[in-house]
Amino acid sequence: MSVLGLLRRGLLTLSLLALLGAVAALLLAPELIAPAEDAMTPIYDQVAEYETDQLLNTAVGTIALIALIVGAIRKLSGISGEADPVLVADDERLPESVSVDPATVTGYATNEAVNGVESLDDARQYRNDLRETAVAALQAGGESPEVARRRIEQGAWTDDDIAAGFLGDAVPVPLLARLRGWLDEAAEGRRRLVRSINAVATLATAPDAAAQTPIEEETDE
Amino acid sequence: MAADTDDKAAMTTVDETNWRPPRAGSALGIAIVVVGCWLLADALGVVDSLAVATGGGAGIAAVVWLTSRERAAAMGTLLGVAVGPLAGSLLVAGLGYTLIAQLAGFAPGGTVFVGVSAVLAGFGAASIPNDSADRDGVSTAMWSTLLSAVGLLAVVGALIGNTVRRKEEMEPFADLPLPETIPELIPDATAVPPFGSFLVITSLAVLALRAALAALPVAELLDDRAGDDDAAIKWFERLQSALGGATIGVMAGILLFGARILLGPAYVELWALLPPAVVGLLDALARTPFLRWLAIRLLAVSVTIVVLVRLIRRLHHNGIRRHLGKIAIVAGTALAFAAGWMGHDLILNTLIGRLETALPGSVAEVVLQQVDDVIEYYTGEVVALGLVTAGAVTTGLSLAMLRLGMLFQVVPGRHSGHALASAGLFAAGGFGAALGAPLPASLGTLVGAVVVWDLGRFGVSLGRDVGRRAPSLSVQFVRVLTAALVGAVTAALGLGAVSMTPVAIATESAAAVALFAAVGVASLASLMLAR
Amino acid sequence: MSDATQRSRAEQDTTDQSTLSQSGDDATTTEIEASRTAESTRSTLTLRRRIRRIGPWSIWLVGGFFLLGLGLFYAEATLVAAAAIPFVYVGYAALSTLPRNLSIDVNRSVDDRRLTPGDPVEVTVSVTNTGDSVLTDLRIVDAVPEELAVTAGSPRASLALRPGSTASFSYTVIAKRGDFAFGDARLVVRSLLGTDTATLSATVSGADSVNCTDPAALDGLHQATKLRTGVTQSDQGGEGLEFHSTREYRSGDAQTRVNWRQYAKTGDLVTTEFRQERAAREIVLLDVRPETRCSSAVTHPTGAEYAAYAAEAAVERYRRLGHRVSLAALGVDADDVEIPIREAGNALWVENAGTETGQHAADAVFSAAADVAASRTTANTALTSLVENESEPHRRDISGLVAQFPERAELLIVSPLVDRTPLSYAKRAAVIGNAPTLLSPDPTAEENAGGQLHSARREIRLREARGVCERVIDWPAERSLSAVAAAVDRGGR
Repeated sequence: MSVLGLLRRGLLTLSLLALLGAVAALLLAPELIAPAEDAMTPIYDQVAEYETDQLLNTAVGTIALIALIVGAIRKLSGISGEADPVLVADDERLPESVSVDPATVTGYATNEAVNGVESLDDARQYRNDLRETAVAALQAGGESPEVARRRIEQGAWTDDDIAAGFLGDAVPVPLLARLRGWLDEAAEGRRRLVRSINAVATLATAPDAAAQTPIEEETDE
Repeated sequence: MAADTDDKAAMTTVDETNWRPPRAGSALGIAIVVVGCWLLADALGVVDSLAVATGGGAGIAAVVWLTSRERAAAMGTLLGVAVGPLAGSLLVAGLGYTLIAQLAGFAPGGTVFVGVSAVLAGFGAASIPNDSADRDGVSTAMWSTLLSAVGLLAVVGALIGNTVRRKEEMEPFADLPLPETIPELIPDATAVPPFGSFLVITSLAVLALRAALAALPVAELLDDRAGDDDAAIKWFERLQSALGGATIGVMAGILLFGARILLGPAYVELWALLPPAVVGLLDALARTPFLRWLAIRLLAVSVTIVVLVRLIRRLHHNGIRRHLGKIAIVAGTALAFAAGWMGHDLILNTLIGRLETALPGSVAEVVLQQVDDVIEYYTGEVVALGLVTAGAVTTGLSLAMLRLGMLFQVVPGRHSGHALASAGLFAAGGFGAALGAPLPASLGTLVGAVVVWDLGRFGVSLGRDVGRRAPSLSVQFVRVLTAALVGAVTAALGLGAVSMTPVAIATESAAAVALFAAVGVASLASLMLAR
Repeated sequence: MSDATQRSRAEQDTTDQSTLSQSGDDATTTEIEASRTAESTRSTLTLRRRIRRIGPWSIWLVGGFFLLGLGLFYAEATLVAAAAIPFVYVGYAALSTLPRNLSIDVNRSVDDRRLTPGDPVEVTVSVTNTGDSVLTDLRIVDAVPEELAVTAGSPRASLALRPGSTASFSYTVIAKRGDFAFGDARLVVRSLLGTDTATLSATVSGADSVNCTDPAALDGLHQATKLRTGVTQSDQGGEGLEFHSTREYRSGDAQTRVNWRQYAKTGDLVTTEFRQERAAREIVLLDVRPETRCSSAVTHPTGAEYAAYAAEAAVERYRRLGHRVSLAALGVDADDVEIPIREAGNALWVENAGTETGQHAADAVFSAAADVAASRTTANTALTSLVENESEPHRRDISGLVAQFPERAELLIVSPLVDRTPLSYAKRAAVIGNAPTLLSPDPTAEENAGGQLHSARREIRLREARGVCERVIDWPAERSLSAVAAAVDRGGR
């Protein structure tokens, strides 16, 4: 705002405040304004004709009216006014953000596959991959592939019942998990997948511990 | 700096809640509201009732927050709708006690206005932490509570009508042509065994049983291994197919039934062809009331199971906010209803106790007598439920008024917590000063109102600009200090001026002229500054 | 700079302003230029926008009227006096302005140690109020390069500054290979009650980029292949220092090697054979195939970037020590390299990166590898299995490359080990006598199921590698290369 405009505003405000001060003085300390009283006599007589209550109520009414006008002015000027400046506009890039595609993070495809599971059958489609990984983990721990497969089937490779039952045929999935599957297949399918992945990850870091558990020998069928 | 990252997503590691107003400012705003309201209430002598009323206002803010949550939306709606009547009744109770105190002369006239302002301030202050009082939130809360109120009204209306009917021994339905008794299931003795209807009923029952078994998680209970070679599952499937054979029974039964109607006497002769032992056996079977009773119960239970199971699975799977939302509203209403029913003793005793202490002696007698009469007539439960309903209606109507204010843009549509708190505090301060509260308290409340408003706006802008992670304590401190200083200095000057020369306004015509002039000047000034 | 050019520059810089509206308007927008000459150590401030806006405060006029009316209604003088409070607030808000000469200095400092990819870098921004009036509400946001992610702290701050005082804030980004430039900082300054605002942009003095380009020849990397510095003794006879054997003189032998004493004694010409000194030989095999160009999180570089950097650092180290080091690069296309490079198998092959031409070739290969490593591979989401099928490399490719390996050179494989290809190369190399060592940066994170599965599979491959390679160095995602090299130096795993 230019200096002139500021000066204009300041002067106006000051003069209005001075006027207000004079009026207040008249109200609170009338003896100060005594000299000017002669000029005001006709007005006093005019006002004295009305009753006090009437005057007061009229005053209140006028004030309410002016308040409405002020509100209206404000509303109108608010529409065409400038917006508050912001540090980072909505259409700009956030400085905390990084321009990297989340699809380039390791494991993105797997996560998308897990989230796309809609039923228990969908989840069972991915079992083979997990079984192969688990077998490879056990092999890296020194077991032969056949023994490893048997171990997976009997579920003797992990403490997690759900993972054991999901990947192994000879072990049942716990009852609560089955009921959950009945209630909501998709959520339960995802849950079983994620638990199995957790268990396989634990196995990969410590295959020797899992190999300690004894398994039943396969009998001829 | 426009990015050319059209095909690369811009990922950010910052949470959404980072851009909310800083906590320190919000806490200070709430503290100012609490202190201001307490000071005024203390000065006017109505701390208890005002505290209850403000608690009600804060409760309504909690209802808005609960119903407009996004996480655990159903539970939130349920709790919100259940808490709504409580908040509303607290509000009504607090304001009612304030009114009683005012009418009884314990508090200066007009205290109830201070009460209403304090409620508004309480609502605003309670909405500040979670910033939940925006247009959508208030809309959702309004609809939920209004629905719940309507439901409660309907139930309570029915109960009251029932009580009245019982008490007055009215028989409103006596003239309706209702059938006297349900027609018997077992027909009169006829020449031929009523085998057709029996077959139909029993076969339908068996089919329904089959459907229920299929719906129930029997397969999952047994096992759900991939391997099919399990005896139990095989047995179960055999059972299912066996039960499926009941379709034949249905068809046969319908045939027999039709034959009886169509063939008439020829039907009787057909029956006569069979050996009498068989006829006797079939007759006994068809007429045994136990079997029919069992069949009908089985049918009803199975159908219910199938419907329920479908409902549960659908609800659990879908999780659609709409369905759960509606059910949550009903459940919340039922919860409020149950609370009112079970706790009617507690509610009524509290009410009567407060009335005893609040009312002056002579009036208390009369009022309490009336209350006792009403309770006796309508039974305590119904009265308590009536109060619950009144609370729900109050909450709904208050939220509706708020929403209306937002519609007309009197209330800001977003971040309205601090605006409402400030408005309430300001009005409370003004009324408090008018009613004779000590000047430091009321003027301090006025200054506090402006500070809360400024701090709230500042906090919103700060949160949006720099977020909560960045330190912002010093800047907020400077801002609060500035605002408080400006107001305090003005208030001190005003206090000084008034205390120096006390004047009664309405006694001198000079004063009247001066006042008009002052008003005129003030309006001119505001016109200048409002541009 | 002259004032005229300054002014024109500022005029170009300021954004377009909105026009004053005709009817009563809350805001006036002006184009006051407040830019200043900067010495090279000070920052330049450019005013973008100046807004005066008392609109929100005018609601308190209504409040003032409310109090006035209430006072009249209840006939209370104090309320009428109290009505002055809101009016005074509005007046103060209308009259408060920003200081005319805004002068702010912004300085940025970046961790200046040698950076490797994946290192957290702390950036500290300090703001000084070089004017002569208090700035009560200054908000600043630093322009972080878009490729780098902020992992701790915040690049935004709100400060209140007395004249002459300085405040600072800091945040952390993760370094990546390359040179990333910061932009100008943006500031918003407000007056005491927030009615007068100025939006400014400031060029920041001090550090203006995060630079991570030159791989340091890190101590300790050479220890990965367990060679002593300098030379090794071999068992073959030839030139050297230590006596090995004698043989009959052949024409062409150096006169210095003739055993004159024996000639003096017996009259036979005999040549002495010394232990042949062989210069130490290494091969660095770098794996930056598309499968390796994934990262553990969006904030971190890819496994291939880590590998390329480590390989370049290793080659540099060996070269400084005087070894003869060869370079093989998998996954870099010959077309991407500036100078023609020989191919062996399906890899680029530089025979000796110690010679002049070899160094050029190796540098060209590394620069191409760095570029290609930063071009991330998007995961294929149209899969029917949980993990992508691993393609086995052709045996011909493997043998084609391994055949090029000099005899008894030690092999250092730098690969994130996202599939079993590096293991195939390692096995083949071990068979023919090039003892393999594996340095493997970890491109997986264990936060979600996908990351865990990939991490588990990599773990299995690492175990298998331990059986094939002489030494396996697993480089965890959160450690820097210098820490790993130091650990190797100390003899750790």
